Amino acid sequence: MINNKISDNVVLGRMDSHNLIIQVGNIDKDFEVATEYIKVLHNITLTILEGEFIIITGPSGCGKSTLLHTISGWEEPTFGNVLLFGEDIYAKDEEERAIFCNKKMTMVSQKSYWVNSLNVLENIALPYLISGYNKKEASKKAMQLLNLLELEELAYYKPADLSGGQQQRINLLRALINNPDIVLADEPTGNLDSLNTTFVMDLFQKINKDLKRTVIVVTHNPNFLDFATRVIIMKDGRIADTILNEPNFVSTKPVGDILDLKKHGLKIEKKDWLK
Amino acid sequence: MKISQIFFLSLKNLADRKIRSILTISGVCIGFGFIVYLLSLGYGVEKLTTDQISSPDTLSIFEISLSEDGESRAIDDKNIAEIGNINNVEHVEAAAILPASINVGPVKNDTIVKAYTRKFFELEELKIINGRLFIEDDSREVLITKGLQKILNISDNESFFPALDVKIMTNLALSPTNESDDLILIKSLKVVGIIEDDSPSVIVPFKTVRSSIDLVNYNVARVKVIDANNLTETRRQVEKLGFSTNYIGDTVSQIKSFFNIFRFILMGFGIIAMIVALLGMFNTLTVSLLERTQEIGVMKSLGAKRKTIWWLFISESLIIGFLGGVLGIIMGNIAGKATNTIFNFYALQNGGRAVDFFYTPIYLVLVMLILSILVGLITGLYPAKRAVKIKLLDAIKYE
Ligand SMILES: Nc1ncnc2c1ncn2[C@@H]1O[C@H](COP(=O)(O)OP(=O)(O)OP(=O)(O)O)[C@@H](O)[C@H]1O
Ligand SMILES: [Mg+2]
Repeated sequence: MINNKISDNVVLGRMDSHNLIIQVGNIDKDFEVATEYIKVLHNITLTILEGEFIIITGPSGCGKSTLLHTISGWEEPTFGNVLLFGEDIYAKDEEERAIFCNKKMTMVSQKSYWVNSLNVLENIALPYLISGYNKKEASKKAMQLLNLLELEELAYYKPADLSGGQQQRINLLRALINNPDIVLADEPTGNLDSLNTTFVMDLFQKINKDLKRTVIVVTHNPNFLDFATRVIIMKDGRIADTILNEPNFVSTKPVGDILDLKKHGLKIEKKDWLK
Repeated sequence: MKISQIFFLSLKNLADRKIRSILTISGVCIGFGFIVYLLSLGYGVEKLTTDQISSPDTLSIFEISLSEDGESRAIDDKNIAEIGNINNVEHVEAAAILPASINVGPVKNDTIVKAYTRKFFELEELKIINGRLFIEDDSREVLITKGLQKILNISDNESFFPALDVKIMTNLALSPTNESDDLILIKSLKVVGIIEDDSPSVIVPFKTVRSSIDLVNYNVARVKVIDANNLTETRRQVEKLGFSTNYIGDTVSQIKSFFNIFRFILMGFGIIAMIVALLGMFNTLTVSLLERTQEIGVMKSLGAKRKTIWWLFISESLIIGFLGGVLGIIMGNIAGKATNTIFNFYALQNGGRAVDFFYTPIYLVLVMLILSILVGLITGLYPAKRAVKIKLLDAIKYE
């Protein structure tokens, strides 16, 4: 295991201005609980290169989700800044930040949340509609995505009526519809059985390997650590350790569209649990 | 997000909570329906009354009559000429009204004879519902009222209109040279038309009457003025000369002010119903806000702008308000028409007349539509404002 300071220097040593995608600089996060302030993140600095697959792990309550939320633009740090493609996202006002961040990245949560009055197809299409596409374009795209995972028959179900595994697939498709450069995921497999977990993690790997998207996954699951280019281990709001799986990682640019996964040989094995 | 999509989403949400949506919309519908029903009733009854003013000319004509106490000046040719000389007077025309009896073949009936010129007929704006007016003021032709037609059982077919004899009872005040209570017979007057009036009377050409009776004084005259705006002044001048006058405009303004108060009271009832409906609507939206906190979080996490969230709630309340309003207007109308029809059914059965006492002016419909949109907007403002303020992480982080 390599000390956090050194590893960040290793990364910094290999970067040039083009491939720095996320720079977390000296972040502190305090939460006000009753009358006290609790420090949840201590002076975190983290530089992520374009095309990396980062896994963040660590004991419960160590601040993984909070860190992810500061990266996604959802939680303003008490101190420090977050640069996305070189732009300080917390220098922007809330609305601008949301627009900017949503153009570049997406978040997959552990539990899937839905707009309950909409069916699966409409829920997947929602981010596309929010981006200003019309209904026809959005439905078409959503259907193509369902087709990608061979889930067309679920299109007109209400998401809440589906199994956890099915819901998480739909959740992933919804997260991917805007073809993001960065995919963030907070314990995306936390509620899934091992079959579904493998499927989801494999999909993240494909998105990273074949489409060269930057992926940051928070997980407790130790089985997939070697998918990552770098594993960040947190403890008590600090980066305790970093595992460099690919010390010679070379930054890459995103290629193609999410729908291209099919070309890259995405295999779907229809299992009984899909029913 | 496109506004049309936001509305679509709101519709979906309303459809997803069918029972509650239907109840809420029904509440608003009842509120609006009640207001439309009551106001239309108010307008209808008013219209029924003011409809008696058949033409714009009506308001430029006033009537001179003999006062009850007999103090007023006599209406004779000399005095009429004097009135005719007043500025602003276009024309003065007199008529006599006398008690009489009539005979149609063997059938005899008491009635009233109105000795009218064609001009007077025109100034009184009587409506001929069948047939025509007499040709000359000395024709041997008469008109009868619908009321008399019924009594005499005369057919509606013009070619079967009978001829009748009238026996006019003379009156010293009008014809001083005749003996009092003399009965003067005028034979074979041909009925040529029926006028819309339920009381029984016969209109006989003026000169036809005068050729039999020595009429010197009359008991009614009508004055048409040139400029209706100065009618009050002209009328005062005429009254100064010692005549008593009536003007339909007096009644109309009385009726108008009465119905303004009437409508106000009806409106009060409607507003109470409306407030109850609005509280229901507000409650629905607030509950919807609480239930949808998580959905708002989802929308925000997917990049929805504040404006989108705001519109999401406003559009929902606009839909409830507008649907409630439109349905309310329709229901109010149906209820009004139904009441009217049922009323007329019984009225006709009991020998009455069918009337329309329910009337929805188009501007009332427009005002109600605009009101329904405003109501939607206003009730939606508070929940929308709160929805916009919801923090993304508060909405989705913890269950
Ligand atoms: N909004 C908040 N207000 C107060 N305390 C908070 C808030 N959000 C997080 N915390 C606290 O911050 C600490 C870190 O929380 P965080 O969710 O980041 O941990 P985590 O590493 O993701 O844990 P887990 O693995 O259980 O998800 C926890 O002690 C948590 O109670
Ligand atoms: Mg967490």
